[in-house]
Amino acid sequence: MATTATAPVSGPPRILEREPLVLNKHSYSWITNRVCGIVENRQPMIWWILFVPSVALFLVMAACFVYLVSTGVGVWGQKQPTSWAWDITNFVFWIGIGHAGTLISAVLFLTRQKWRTSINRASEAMTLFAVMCAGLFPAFHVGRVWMVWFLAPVPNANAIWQNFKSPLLWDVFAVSTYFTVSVLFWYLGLLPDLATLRDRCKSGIKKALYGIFALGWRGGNRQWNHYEMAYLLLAALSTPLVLSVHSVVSFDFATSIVPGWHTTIFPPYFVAGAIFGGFAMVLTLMIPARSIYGLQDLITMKHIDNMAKIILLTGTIVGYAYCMELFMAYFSANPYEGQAFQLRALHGPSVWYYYAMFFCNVIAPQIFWFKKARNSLVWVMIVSMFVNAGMWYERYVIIVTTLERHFMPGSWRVFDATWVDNWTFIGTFGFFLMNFLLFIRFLPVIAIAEVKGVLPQSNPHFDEHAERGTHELQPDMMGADSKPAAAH
Amino acid sequence: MSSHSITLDDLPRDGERLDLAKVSKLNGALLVVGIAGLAVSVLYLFGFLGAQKQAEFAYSWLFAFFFFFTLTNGGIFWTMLQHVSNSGWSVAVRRFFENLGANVKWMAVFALPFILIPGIRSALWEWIVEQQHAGSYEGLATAAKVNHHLAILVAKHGYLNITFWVVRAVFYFGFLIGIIGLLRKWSIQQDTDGDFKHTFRSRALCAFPMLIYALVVTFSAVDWVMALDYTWFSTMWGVYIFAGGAWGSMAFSIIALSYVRSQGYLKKTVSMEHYHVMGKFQLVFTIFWAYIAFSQFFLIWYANITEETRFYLLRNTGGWWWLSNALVWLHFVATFVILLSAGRKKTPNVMNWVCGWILLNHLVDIYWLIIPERAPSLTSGKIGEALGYHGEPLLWLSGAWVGDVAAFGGIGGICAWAYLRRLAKASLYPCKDPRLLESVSCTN
Repeated sequence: MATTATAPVSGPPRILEREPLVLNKHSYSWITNRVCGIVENRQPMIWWILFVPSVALFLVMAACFVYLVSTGVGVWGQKQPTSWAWDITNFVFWIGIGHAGTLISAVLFLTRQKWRTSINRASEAMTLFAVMCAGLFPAFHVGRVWMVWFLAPVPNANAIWQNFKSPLLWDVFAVSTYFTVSVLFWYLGLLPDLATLRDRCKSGIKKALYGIFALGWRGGNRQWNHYEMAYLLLAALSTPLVLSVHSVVSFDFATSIVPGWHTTIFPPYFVAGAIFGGFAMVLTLMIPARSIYGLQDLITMKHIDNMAKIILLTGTIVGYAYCMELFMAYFSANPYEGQAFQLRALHGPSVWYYYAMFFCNVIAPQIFWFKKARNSLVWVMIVSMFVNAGMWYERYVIIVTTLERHFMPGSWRVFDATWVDNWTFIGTFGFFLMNFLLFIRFLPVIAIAEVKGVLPQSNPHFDEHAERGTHELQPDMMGADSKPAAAH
Repeated sequence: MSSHSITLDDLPRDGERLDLAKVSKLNGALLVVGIAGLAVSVLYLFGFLGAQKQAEFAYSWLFAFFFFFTLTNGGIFWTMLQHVSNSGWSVAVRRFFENLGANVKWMAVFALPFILIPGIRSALWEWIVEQQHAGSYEGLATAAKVNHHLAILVAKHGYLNITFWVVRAVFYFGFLIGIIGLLRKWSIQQDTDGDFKHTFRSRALCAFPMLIYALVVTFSAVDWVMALDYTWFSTMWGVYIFAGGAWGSMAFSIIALSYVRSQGYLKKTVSMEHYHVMGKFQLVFTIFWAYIAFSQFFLIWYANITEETRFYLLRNTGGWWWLSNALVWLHFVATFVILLSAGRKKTPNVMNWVCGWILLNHLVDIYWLIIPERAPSLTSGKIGEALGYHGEPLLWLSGAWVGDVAAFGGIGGICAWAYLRRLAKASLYPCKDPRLLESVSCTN
């Protein structure tokens, strides 16, 4: 039937079916067993192979920070005029990655995109870890990290008056609010699944701990009622936060009068870039995870296809912004603006960063116009890696290459990263991965209750007589096991 | 939803057709308004009322043209978005967007005066006057040595020159007419043959051209409105114009849908759920527009660079200050608060009023973009000299509003008349679309 699906038929109406979100008609119990099994069984060897180096890298990062605090911020490579360098580049890089989780959980929830259910839990967790990595850089760049509470506008004995006119202070508010709400949202979604884990534990400390964190969840009607209302409200609250965080981060640059930083498209361009980088990181983590833990029926090729399309869309929006910047640098006829972009893209000392950024973020994702590429795990993984790198290059290009060539040519200097810069940044990947692996080890990586909700049998009318007509799938859409249903 | 879930058997297999005789009163009135408005406009356009009035009217015509152009563009956007996102809910209401987008043919006709009538285009775009005065690029470069302001125009000559400007306009309309024409054609073909291939190829057609669409919206807005002041620039401009157009066109489509339903059509096909989804899009774009408008304003205000602030300084001077505030409090805050309630979004009567309000605010937005440039431009520079103005540029030209009304009535009347006639040419919904069942039974 699939081969003739486009030929016209006279007779019963023809209905184009949606692809199933969970393959192979699994039951509720299969889903519970498969997801809880990850937590309950021994971890495969690959988990340890990843976990041990991650911890080692995390320790390297910790050592770098100890060295920084004990020696001074001078151990990083920034010198005038590049007074902002890797610290803020890495901050923006990680905070950008920390956008996909809340986008998937909140925005896709509000827009009724049911495919989010298989990937929202892991993306939210990833978001939290990414924001933690991001927070380390501004916290430690103050040098005496125990004084970091001075950022908060609370009464203090040193007569420090926070500068409310500075976007950097807004960053503190935006990021901390975002982190708090993201934690709450993630934890709220975990409650029913924590109770499932609690109920499956035999006894002992595990059961007690899952029990404490499940907050007495029993799955009654009233509990679900409150739960769903709270979830909706938190989703509505999180959505503006997703936008605000990266908009405020973009204000750090765009409110200035520095050519190459001051441009009005920065807020939506940064938000699109953040979603872009975040989805690439979700794919980077989830493609291996679904293979290692046998989750292919829950995180299907359709999910990966959708995420690849979002990467294509946001990558193209980012490309639009790059081109608008170039066009307006020309069209404004402002010599400073024009010079900034010529130095960035044509004859500055770091033009290769610009080309790397353009290739990774704009050119590489274009392969996702082809379904073959979107349906090939190898290609999706390759492009995700390009995007991960490209989004770091983007922040480096915006921040460092602009400052390297500021208004006074006499003090121009090319930035040179020190070994502390390098190892601190590499170390954050260890910190990030270590947290994510621990999350897989102790918490359900897929939102069990939510995935069950999108199964066909969760529809109260599912066993009623289906609509009269020929139910068909788009040809070549899915695997062989999703043959169309017969005509009624 | 009702207890009986709707099936395709409940719907007429060949769709529903709007009977023009039923709506002849409204359609006749629209035609009369349109012809009357155009008749007055012709007097202005061709300078029968004098060069001064012609120059003032150029802004009226651009204002009316651009308002309806953004609505039409929005119709094309929604049609493309629904195809490319493989959307299910929207099938029952898609024709309203298709037909709105197809109005772009008329917009191409209404754009002709900008290209063909020299008095109109030189009143609007000072850069054209300067270039024609200089004669050639070399002439402009020589003139810039005396008048240093012209250095900006010399630098922009590669983009802002008349030949390229006309070529671009032809491309914009060619692209928009072509894409919406194909989408509408395939959609109507499917009404007879029920072939899935139309669905698949429409989706394929909307994918990459969405990018071209974005560029068309951006650069048409740059060419026609941003370049009213050739010294001003903002990278956010295209996004701002797009956001307003998508917002207004959704409101227009909801009103058209309600009107058609009030005539006894689409009673089973369209439910309150569709109003709810469309209302949510309306809310999203209320917020999106405000986000874009705020970001653009805020970054220019904070950086406070002379060459950028001129746009907002003009619009915060004199009476324009009130209009700028109207955009904040009425365009955004009031609309946002009204649209928050799910109950209101599901009530067609409320939504009709809200959408009327939205169209009014979109009109204010376009007026605010274009008309403040009129008095300062026509009372200064070479045009001001030609029209006999000396001294400080004015902020407001009294009496010019008559032209605004005439142009709006002329273009609007004809557009709405053509829209209603086009609605009647095919079924009011794609009756053999393979996702029709999903659409009529959608819940959210």
